[in-house]
Amino acid sequence: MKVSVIADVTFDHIAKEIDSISNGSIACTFSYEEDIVGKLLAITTDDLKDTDVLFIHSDQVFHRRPAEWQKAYLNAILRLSAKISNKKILVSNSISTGFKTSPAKLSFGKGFYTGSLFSNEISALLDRPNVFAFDFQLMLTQLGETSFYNYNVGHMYQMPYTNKAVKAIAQALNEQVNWLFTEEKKVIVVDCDNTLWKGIIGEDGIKGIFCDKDAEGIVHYHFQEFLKLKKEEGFLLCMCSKNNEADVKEAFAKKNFVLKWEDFIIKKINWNDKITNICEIGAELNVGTDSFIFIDDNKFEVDLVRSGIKNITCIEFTGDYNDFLNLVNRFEFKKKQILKADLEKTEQYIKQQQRSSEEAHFENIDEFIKSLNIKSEIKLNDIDDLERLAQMTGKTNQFNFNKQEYSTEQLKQFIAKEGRVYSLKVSDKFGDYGTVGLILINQGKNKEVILENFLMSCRALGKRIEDTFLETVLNELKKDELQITSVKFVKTEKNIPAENFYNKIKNETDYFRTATTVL
Amino acid sequence: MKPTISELQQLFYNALGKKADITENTVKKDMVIWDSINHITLINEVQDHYKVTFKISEIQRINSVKELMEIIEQKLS
Repeated sequence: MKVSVIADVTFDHIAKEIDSISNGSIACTFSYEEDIVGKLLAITTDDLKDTDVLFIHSDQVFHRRPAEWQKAYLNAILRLSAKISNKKILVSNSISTGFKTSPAKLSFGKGFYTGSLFSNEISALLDRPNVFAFDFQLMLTQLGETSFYNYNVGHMYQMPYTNKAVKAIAQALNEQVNWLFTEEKKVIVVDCDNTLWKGIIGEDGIKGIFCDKDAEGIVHYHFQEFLKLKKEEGFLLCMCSKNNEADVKEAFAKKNFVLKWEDFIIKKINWNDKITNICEIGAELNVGTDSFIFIDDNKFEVDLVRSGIKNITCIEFTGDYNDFLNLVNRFEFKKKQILKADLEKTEQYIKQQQRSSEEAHFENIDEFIKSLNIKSEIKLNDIDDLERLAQMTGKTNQFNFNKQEYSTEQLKQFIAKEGRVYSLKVSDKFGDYGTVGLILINQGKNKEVILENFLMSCRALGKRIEDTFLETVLNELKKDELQITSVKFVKTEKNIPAENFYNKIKNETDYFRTATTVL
Repeated sequence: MKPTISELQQLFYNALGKKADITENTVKKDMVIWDSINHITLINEVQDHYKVTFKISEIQRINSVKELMEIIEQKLS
């Protein structure tokens, strides 16, 4: 991965450290810029041709720049982020109050330029889908200013950091760059005893477990608050515990926990091994177990699951508050972007479960589908929904013809070049699924067009909506006398459902029999 | 208290790498890997290890192992 660094400090040491901890997989090119604002304004897309991530770091704490300068700096980043919307930009959140002593009343915020003068600029910046905050402030707080900076050396060489700070920055940058290019985690599976609460319910009873603001239960109390926040951000919470279900249910009924029994959408409370349980949860949710995070206090269980399930993130919950803080700051828990659709996710999955349980009552699938009263709405070039559609191209794995990712900007350009973006919204008697399908049609020569991509969110699969969607789009194309002559299909590790569908339409539809697959 | 050459040797290894062998007579300009970039890492290592802080003028003055030892010794006395 190539990271371009624009900084107003010497970056050699950090780049060297990153090279060593990433075993060379992340290469930084960097330039020291005295006039970082001027540099940001001058940058062109061409300069960043080979760059995967642009890291912008102006150390305000070291340089103590005036407020007007900081404002101009933020505006320069904002302009740049619009100009290079297809590149990911990481911005370090270092701030300065100059030499002013702290005001008597401090405002509390979310960590990016906390309580600063620049809240408008910052929120505009963070609204851009390709901009991400690099939490420099957090590192500084954790290490403390005097162990972080070495001002004498700094003012001589423009390299103000102690070796400890260099290691911390490199470590965090390495993790965050990797995180930018990995898929987000979706599901958090937690154990109960000594994880959600202190104590063992089956042995200590209701009176022997703690999850409150007293010393014994505080870390568990805060852990539950943290999980609740993650649920609101769109993670799905599940429980996996070796216990009697009645005991655990009783704990939730009688204790005034932060989390409620219903907050967990699947509970596996039994004596089976946890690998089996977690795989079952994955199957029931139709979510790959590689997007799971598993948290348990028992080192044995943690190691077992880690060795048994590929790419699952396993975290041991030690009950130590410092370890808990490290857990909170892990990148696996961060969402790259939180959209309205994410906030409703738990609700949607619960509806999905209701649908599945009704499915069992029907003799055949057609009858069931009929009973759902599915309503679908297909739109062409729906500009307002491009953000969600762009997100889908990055997040959909199973029903995805070629895993080509698009940014909102790229979709706009696609439309501008006479491409067609068909999107599908679906609802049924249980509720609204939101936007779940996307077909991209690209102009070819004359009346020939290319099926650029076809994707469906997995929560909408299995209801034959994909057939209706494709059929409608084909009819639209026929109206304009357009003919699909090639289909871009690339087999990936996960897109078996898309492959099956493609094979089916190739055999069943005349329309596709003549189309060629291009890779 | 006087810093020992073996203590310094360890700090050189930490900062400049495993091949950074020194003697009391090593001079900065004769040692290729002791460049200005590595110099900062070295100064940081020394400051951390002996819990001392160097002034800007002192950092500029350090051009040999001998000078480094003298400055550390002054600080520690």
